[in-house]
Amino acid sequence: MNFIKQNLLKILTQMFMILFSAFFLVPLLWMISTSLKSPEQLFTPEVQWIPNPIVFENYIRAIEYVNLFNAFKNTFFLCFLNVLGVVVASSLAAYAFAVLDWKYREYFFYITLATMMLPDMVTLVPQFILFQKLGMYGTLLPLTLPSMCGNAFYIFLLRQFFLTVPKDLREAACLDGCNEFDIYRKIYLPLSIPALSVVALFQFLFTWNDLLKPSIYLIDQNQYTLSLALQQFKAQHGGTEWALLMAAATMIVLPVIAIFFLAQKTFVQGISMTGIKE
Amino acid sequence: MAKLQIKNLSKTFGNSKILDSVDISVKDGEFIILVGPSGSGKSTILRLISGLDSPSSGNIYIDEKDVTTLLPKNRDIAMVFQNYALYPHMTIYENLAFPLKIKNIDKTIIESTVNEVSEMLGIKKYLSKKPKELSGGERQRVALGRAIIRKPKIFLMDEPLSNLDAKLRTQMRAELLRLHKSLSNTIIYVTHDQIEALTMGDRIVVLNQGKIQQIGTPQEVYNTPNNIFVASFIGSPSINLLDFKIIDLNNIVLNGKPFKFSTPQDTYSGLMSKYLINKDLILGARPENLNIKSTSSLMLSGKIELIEMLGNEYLLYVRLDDTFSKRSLISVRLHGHCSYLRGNEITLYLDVSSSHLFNSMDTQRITI
Repeated sequence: MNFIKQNLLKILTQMFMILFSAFFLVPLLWMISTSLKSPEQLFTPEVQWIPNPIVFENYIRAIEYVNLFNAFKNTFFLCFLNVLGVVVASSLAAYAFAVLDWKYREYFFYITLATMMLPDMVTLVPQFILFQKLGMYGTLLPLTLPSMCGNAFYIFLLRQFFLTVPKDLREAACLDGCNEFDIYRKIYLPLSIPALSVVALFQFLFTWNDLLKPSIYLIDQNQYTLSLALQQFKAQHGGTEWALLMAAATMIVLPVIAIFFLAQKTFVQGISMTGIKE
Repeated sequence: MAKLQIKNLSKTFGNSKILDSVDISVKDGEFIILVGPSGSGKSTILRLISGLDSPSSGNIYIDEKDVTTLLPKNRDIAMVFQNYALYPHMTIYENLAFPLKIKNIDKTIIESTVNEVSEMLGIKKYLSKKPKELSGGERQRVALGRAIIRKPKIFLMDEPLSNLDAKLRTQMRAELLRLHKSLSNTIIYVTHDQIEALTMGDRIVVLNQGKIQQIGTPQEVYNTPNNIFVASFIGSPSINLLDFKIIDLNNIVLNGKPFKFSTPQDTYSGLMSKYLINKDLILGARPENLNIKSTSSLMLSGKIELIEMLGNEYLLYVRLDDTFSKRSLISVRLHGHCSYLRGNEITLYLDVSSSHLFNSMDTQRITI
């Protein structure tokens, strides 16, 4: 009884969190359950969580129906370019805003921040016209070039992080013979791995889940990304193949979950700045 | 090893003048201490020498070459920071090797140099550790090592010992001196600790409010301070300052109290010729220049307010009586066994010939 009294708040918090996570988990579990059902089990009056029989073939059929492997390949390729591009470009810009001293730095920073206020939809049409006039419609370039120019939110995030790196380290590196790029690459980047991972993960998730831009810019089915491939389950077969759609969706979600678990530690990990005595 | 010359160096931030026409000339292999209270501009001088900041006017020469506009990395200068500034993501080995790696020096040479330096500083067993696993003293050694390893022309040290505890500080002080002896590098060392200044430097530069107050050996600065600031900044406890006025050959006023000399002393006949009669002067007497035995006719009496035991000697803080002056609390350094108690009345004798005289208007020293 005493134990409960002492830990009442803890227990209540835990219970609330379990309830909340269940709230998010139910659709996910339902998706997995559906992906293993035969067409007859799909629509039954009573809720059936564990299918009987379990139909694993749905997964193989799903892969074959829309060339899911190709979509995986395309999406990974896009994710790779986008993540690399956005991390390099945003961190360089953030370094310039946080560390380098130049005239009008603050003004340019505010202008960069202001672009965050523009909704994507506002720039969608002008951007489309721009890429079309540049002859990039139907290629992967409109899906990769923008992120290679950085992103205001990530620049802001990294700038704030860079500002916490003690100035003495930069000055020590300066005297040790580093040029500005050496300092960025050898001091600031390694110290900012937690922040860089957050940026990388966000960009990965965004690219992985993006449906709008691929559906606007891609024509060739061979270039389709996973989110576009999922759409095909609906269109191709008149009525929707729910079991196959859910099987494909499960496969698409798995890498994201895996990456999140792998990277979790890096996010939580704070920066260890103990070389500097505060 | 190198000569360093600073000519007419000034630095302003906005409207405030941080440094005002500073001239310093450092000899080859000299250990120079820049000392002063916070805000006196000593760290600014260091940053200007290193190239981390650029001066508003003036020039810096290393071995007769003007380096004022050179980038820090091209000046061949190493700096030890107050908070060590070790790279937290690198091991001690990588920290030490970093300046050499940047220069693209051969790997085997780097390895042997790191080994040699880490051996010299006694940090070889930490090479595979990260800075956060080391104590303050060990980190300080690594920071020193990173400076030494490049064999720079000049070392700059910005209060390198101020984060260490008292015992370690004394130890590191000795080690730094030993290091300086064996490497015979030119060292510019910034501190606000006058004990460090007096014990370590070949010469001391005393700074206040961006201006040089005095440059000299520790003895010169202690024994013949240029002005009241230097006199009171160097020496612990601080020099006692008393209001002083000469009426004539036999009569003076000290802290508002008249004194009569039975036998005029030579020092005073010297003072007469300086036309100092009836001028407001300040007399500076170090705590060791006051005595309890009768040595002169300048007799001061007061009440003991505080006693500080320092082992074989002790300090008395005495509040003088019969005085309207604000300078009525004086400190006295005495040797041997202390038989006084707080609140005791005491009579002190002031040794005038070893005291200093300052003009109370411009605070400058009056040479007799």
